Amino acid sequence: MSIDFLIYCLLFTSASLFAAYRFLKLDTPSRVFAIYVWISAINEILAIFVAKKYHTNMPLYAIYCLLEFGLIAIYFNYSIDVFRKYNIGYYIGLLGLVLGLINILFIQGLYILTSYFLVFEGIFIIGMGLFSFFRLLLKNDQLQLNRYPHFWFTTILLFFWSMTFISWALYDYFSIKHDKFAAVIDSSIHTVGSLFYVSICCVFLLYPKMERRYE
Amino acid sequence: MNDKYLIPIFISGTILLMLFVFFIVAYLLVQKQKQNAYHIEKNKMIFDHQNKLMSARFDEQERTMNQMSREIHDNIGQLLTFTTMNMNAITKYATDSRQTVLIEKAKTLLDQITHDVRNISHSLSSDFIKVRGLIPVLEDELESIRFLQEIACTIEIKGERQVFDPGKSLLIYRIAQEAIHNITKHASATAIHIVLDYDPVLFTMSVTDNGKGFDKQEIYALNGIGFQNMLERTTLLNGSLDIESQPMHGCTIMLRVNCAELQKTDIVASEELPVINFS
Repeated sequence: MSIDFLIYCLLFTSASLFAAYRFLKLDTPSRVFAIYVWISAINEILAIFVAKKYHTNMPLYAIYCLLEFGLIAIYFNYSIDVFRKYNIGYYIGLLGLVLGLINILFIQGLYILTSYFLVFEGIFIIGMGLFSFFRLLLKNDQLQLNRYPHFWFTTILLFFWSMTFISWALYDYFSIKHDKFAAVIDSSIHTVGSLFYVSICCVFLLYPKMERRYE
Repeated sequence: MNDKYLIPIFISGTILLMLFVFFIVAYLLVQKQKQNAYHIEKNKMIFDHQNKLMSARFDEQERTMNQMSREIHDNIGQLLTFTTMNMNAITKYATDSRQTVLIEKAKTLLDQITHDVRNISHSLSSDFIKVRGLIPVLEDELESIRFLQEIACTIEIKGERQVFDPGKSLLIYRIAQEAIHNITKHASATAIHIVLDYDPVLFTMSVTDNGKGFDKQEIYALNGIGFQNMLERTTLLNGSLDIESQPMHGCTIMLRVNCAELQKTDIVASEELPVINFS
């Protein structure tokens, strides 16, 4: 196990613990985000054991991707006013679930990285994040963005998905053709993941100083 | 596509996406900051305008009351004085003892009217209030209520008396006057108790009555000019106004103002919206 992966494990565990510590003080979308962090952490831990036992953890990630997309869609459903009004987040989550299952059952299967679905997931998450910003800008309130947790959660998601978007798209290609470069991509994904969890830790830690306003 | 082109495309694509997100976030932050600054500026202008309007209205009110006070003092007061002098003269020419008794009764009534008219004139005159100070004019006001309305009025002073800006004292007096006026008009009370608490940091004035009180819903119905005036004057003092009342359990109106505010000579309202805290 590499040192960057160990740091990565330490960070997602910390993020999960911070989310649990603050859970009662969180608003609805932040609670959904906390559940997403916990499921990510459980998935990462399970992935280590599954990889050791079955020499591949791709099926686990294939199923986790569906859950991850569903939870992020629900998170945006509650944090974006228009989504909440028409339950758009649930519809997007449902659409992702259906497309993900079609991808697993008929296109890519369980034993390779579901890159098509990951690209779809990336596009939709970046799209929902940008839409969330658009709504924040349209609102004529006096919101202090630096004290607004959903601005930070969305920013974190946007950075994570924009940094890893091309990695997911080309991961299969590089893993087949360029082993060394695939390892570099792996390492870069872990680094970006570490940054992702550090940022989440900070938001949960500073949560009581932020505004719980999502109406 | 050749692999050697794919790797730079991968790296530059990732960097471009990151930069895109970075600029979106930066743009959002800057725009929101501008939006907030615009809101603050707009609110400040609205509050400044409201503040000026409020001050102008109260100044005009005070000017009118001063004019009325002068008219009462100079015309009615003078006429009453002449009438009293005439009554004194008539007493000398009274031949009958019954006439003397009736003239004495009329003189007593005239004295009372003169006294009341003077009190009214004084309570309207802002200059008189500013010169005499808050406590003596409040005592006079209660004395007049005690006599005219047969309501037991008491005033209690706590702490060491402080000298406040006369303009601010006038605002406090007008709030008390409005509260007393409301009690005599609506509360059917038999007792009024005023407490002036000169805490070194926070000045508190409470006006309590034992009248019929009112419930939470009624406050909005009662939120007429009287309450509005009290509220606006409280805003000019940068203070808070609490109203505690229950049906059949009287009412307490409590004004709290920072002493530092009361010692300032300028009257500038806070940018907070005025509120009545009802409990």
